[in-house]
Amino acid sequence: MVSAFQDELGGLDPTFLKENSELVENCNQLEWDDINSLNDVVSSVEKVVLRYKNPNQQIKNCLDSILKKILFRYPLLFGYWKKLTAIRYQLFGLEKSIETLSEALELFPASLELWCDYLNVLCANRPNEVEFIREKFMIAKNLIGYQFLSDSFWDKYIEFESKNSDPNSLVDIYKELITIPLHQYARYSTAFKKLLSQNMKNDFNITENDIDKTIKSTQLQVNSIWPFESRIKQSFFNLTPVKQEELENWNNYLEFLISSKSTNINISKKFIDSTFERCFIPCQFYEHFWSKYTGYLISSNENYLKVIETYEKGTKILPKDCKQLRLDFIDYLKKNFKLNKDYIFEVFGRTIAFLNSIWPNETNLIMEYLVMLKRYKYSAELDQTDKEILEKQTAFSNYLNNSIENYLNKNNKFESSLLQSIINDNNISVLVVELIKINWLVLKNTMQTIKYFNQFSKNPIFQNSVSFWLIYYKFEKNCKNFTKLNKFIDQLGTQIILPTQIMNDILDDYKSFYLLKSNISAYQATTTKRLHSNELLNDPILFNSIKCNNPNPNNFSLTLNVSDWHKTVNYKSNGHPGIIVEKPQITNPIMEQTLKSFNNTAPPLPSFRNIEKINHPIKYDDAFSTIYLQESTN
Amino acid sequence: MDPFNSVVSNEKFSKLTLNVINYPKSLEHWENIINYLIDEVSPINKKLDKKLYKLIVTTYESLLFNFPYLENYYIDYGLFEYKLGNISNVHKIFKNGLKVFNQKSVLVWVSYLQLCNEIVTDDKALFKKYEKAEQYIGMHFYSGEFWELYLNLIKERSISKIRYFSMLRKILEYPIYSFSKFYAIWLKEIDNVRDLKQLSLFAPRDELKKKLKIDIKFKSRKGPYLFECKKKLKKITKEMYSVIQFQVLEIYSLFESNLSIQYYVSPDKLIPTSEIEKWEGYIDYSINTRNEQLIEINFQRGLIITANYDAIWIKYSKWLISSQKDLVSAKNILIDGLSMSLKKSKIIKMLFDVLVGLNDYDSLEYILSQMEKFSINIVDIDDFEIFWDFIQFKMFLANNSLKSRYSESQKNSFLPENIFTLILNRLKYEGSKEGQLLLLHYLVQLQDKDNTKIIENKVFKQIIKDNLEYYINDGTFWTLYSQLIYFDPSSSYLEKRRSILNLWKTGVPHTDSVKELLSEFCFKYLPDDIDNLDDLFA
Repeated sequence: MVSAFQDELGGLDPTFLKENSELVENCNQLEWDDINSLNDVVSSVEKVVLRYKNPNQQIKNCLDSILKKILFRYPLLFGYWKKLTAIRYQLFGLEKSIETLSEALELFPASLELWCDYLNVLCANRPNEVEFIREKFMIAKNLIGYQFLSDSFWDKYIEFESKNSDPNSLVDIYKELITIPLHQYARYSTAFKKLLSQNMKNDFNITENDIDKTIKSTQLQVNSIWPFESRIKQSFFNLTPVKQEELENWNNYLEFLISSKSTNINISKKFIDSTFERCFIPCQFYEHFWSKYTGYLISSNENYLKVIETYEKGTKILPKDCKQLRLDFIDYLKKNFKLNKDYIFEVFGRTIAFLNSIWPNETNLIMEYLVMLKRYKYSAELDQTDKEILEKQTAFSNYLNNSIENYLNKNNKFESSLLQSIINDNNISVLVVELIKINWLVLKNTMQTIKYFNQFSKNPIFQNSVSFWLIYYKFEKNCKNFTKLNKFIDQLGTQIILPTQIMNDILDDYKSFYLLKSNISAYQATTTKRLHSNELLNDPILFNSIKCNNPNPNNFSLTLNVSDWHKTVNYKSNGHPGIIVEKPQITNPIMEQTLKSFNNTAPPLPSFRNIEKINHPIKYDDAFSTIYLQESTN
Repeated sequence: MDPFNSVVSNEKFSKLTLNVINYPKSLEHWENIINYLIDEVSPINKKLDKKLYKLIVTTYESLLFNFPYLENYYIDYGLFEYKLGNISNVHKIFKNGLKVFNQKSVLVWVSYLQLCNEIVTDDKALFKKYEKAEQYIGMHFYSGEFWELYLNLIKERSISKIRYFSMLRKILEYPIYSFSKFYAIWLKEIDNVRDLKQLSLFAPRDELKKKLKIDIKFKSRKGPYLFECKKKLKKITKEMYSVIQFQVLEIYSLFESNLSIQYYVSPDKLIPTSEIEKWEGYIDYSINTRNEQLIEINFQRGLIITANYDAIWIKYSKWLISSQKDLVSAKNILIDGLSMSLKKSKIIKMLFDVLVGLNDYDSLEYILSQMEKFSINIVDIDDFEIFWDFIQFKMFLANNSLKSRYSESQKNSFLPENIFTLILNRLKYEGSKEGQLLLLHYLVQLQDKDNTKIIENKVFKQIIKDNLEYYINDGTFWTLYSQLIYFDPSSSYLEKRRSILNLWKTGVPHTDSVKELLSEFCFKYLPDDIDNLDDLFA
């Protein structure tokens, strides 16, 4: 088994590895989605740190990067950040440990605990850098100051400012503080009043009465959110699924906050944003909350930059199988393209590229990108001159053509682009179809269109492409070319394999088309051959009945040599698909012969096939692992 | 009162006949009336009143006309005539019955042959009947009774012993329900052998010698040698037994044991879908064995049970077409299916195909004209598929009569006037008929070089002019219209784009659903105008 930490452990001294077999073992057995397994790795790292007072640089780096690897994957595990801080303090000293906390806050900015730790460390160790620390307090205030339990932060902040500034700025802090619905809100009104009474001579533009009034409204808010806050049992991130009651509580809570606008409880936008951020700590893998947040932001007319930022975050974090938010994001970008074409085109491009990397089979993505590209770079309004409009279309066609050629010939004859990077075997046909569409319908270049069809239909990549063959079928229908259409229908299901549903639709449509557009003499001319050939009936009308719902029409006919029939999988698994049985048989059967044919002598003795296999255990044809899994890994 | 009048004027009789008239498709009422009549005239003998006889015969005939797949009533009817001594009628009834089942009914055959054993004196003729039955029903899973009859017949009436043994040996190979019975007989026959020479009844001499090392002309002490030889024969029998047992168990456990209905069911009783699916599975299995007799008998068995549903009829005809290339049989099966299946649209469709395949345009024309005659009005028909099939084949036939491809009349018309009128009238029904948008879609699919303007003027513009709201409020209508313009081969890109935008500016209702569909259209064909569309709907 390949260890998750092969790179980290690889270069270490073998004797060290031998001495610390627990660490090696835990690293090798790591399961990324099991928190206990992660805990084992972290605690064995801690043990090693305890054992060696001053290990060599190589070991230090190794231990450090093990933890870092875990934290880059799961930055919300704040406990590990604390451990990393402590370990680095021991291994590398104070500066490095402070740096760790600031690094942690880059990746996990909504963590109250980490902020408090960081600010504590700063105040204790760099008391002279007042401006720097103040700046950090301001940042922290915006990020976590509106969290329900952020009193420890505020205490710290007030303590810092009481030491380092005049009462004026303290009053400003208090003014904001008493409007926030905090768990400890009551404490601050008393403290505030005390501050005022201590500085009677200053005029702060606020009276005790004002404070009482504000506090009353804050109290109302706290009372209204308390039923929800009190039910939050897990406010931290974990790898195990969040409990249903917990999810429901978050949902109700957020629902309540969003709808609070229409009541007399006026909860500030900042607080709502902050609560969403808190919700994303335990619930970051739940698409529902991301959609809720983006929905809320859009409906409250939030600036598009903030909306896009949120969408992008969710898009990156959510598990692969969450589609809705990502599709909504694409939709949002499309709808708001006009707001800032350059910026949105850029975001759109990188989003499509990301999604294409996690969903390589989703061919719609490249189509979305092409349409956006067309709108951004090659669009032409009708009020422009005809020449300009057509120039743009030609340019687009050339661009597509070049990209396709680059991909198919595996070279970079033409300039590469983002489009180039997202093409794969699954979605190349989308490009080809667009190219054909533009040549056929926009540039009206029929000759070129036919040339493209000839060129691409020979390429095996397009042999099973639904969109390619549909456009081909549409084109030939438009040209009323029955010879080509008949040939295409003939190949359908034998050489050109499309999903059964699609084939049914084509067959159905073609029959209609044929009946309405062709005539009896043409029909007779195509079908006379039928009488003399043993091939599948080459018949545009009967084809429909035979091929409909029959993904493999060859199977129906008896063309296969009968003597070899018992060797086929179809025979061996007949009646029990997926289970292969070597069925016993009489190889010289007489049951279909008449009595007379025996000519008054006894019929021959029976001989058998597979008789010794009657009691063999059955074999399963495991298509899942032999075909499906193999294909998906390729 | 004569016996006829006393039966007919009975109040019970009138009640029973009334029921039959009111519910002609309910088997129960028919059975009541037959039972009543038979009860009244029992015991049946030659003294039966002539008028009553006629009444019973007509009742049987009508019953079987209404329910042609009632196997047991052919037998009842035949036995009724047998009791009266009308032998020629007995043959007629059974032969007719067998014809209905394409000779593939074990039940009817076995009863018929039992009777034949008594009434047919000519051995040669009798054997002929058995030989005929064998090729049709020999593979039936429950054909054991038939084989027993056959075997006994040979035993009793054939002079040569070898024929009996050959028959028995042949039956051993059939994977049928009662296979072991015949093995018992075979083994007993081996036990009964007293002389080495008799062994040549079981297999040819040279094979005995080559394969089993049995020498019939063995000279020294014969007793122990015979014992050894019997052992060898039994061993190979056991092997054959295990092969056939495997086959029987496979069929039985996978299919036969799951089938819960074995006889024809009256149309007023529903058959669970699962039962039909089981038959489809069984038939697929049979097809894969590539044993034609088995395939054919199981198709027929499946039909008897599911005759009121279209699935097996269609499957049968498909198999006949693609595997047997037998369009004529397929046609016959479909015509039978048309009369028995309750749902007909798919069968008609298939029948049309087959008739065209056979170049039988007269029959096709005939059926189409019958459809016009018998349905109140083809435009009114609820089943869209039937309507559309009608149009298509009508059109196909019409194409033929328009001999000259370049005549002026065709150039200017997109469809023949009468057919086009049918379609336009159908469209006027708006939402009250199914498949209207599909119909529009089909019309657009017919677009080619010359007809875009006709379709636009006669269909789309007409609908707008007539203000048919069903279409006008539906985005699909507008997408199809836009598509029509976009795919017009005779105008340039710029013209097309302009007329589509113009179309949207006038007349398109500003609803979300319309916008959504038009956006899709833009996405596919006119990405340049996505913003314009947005502005229009803003």
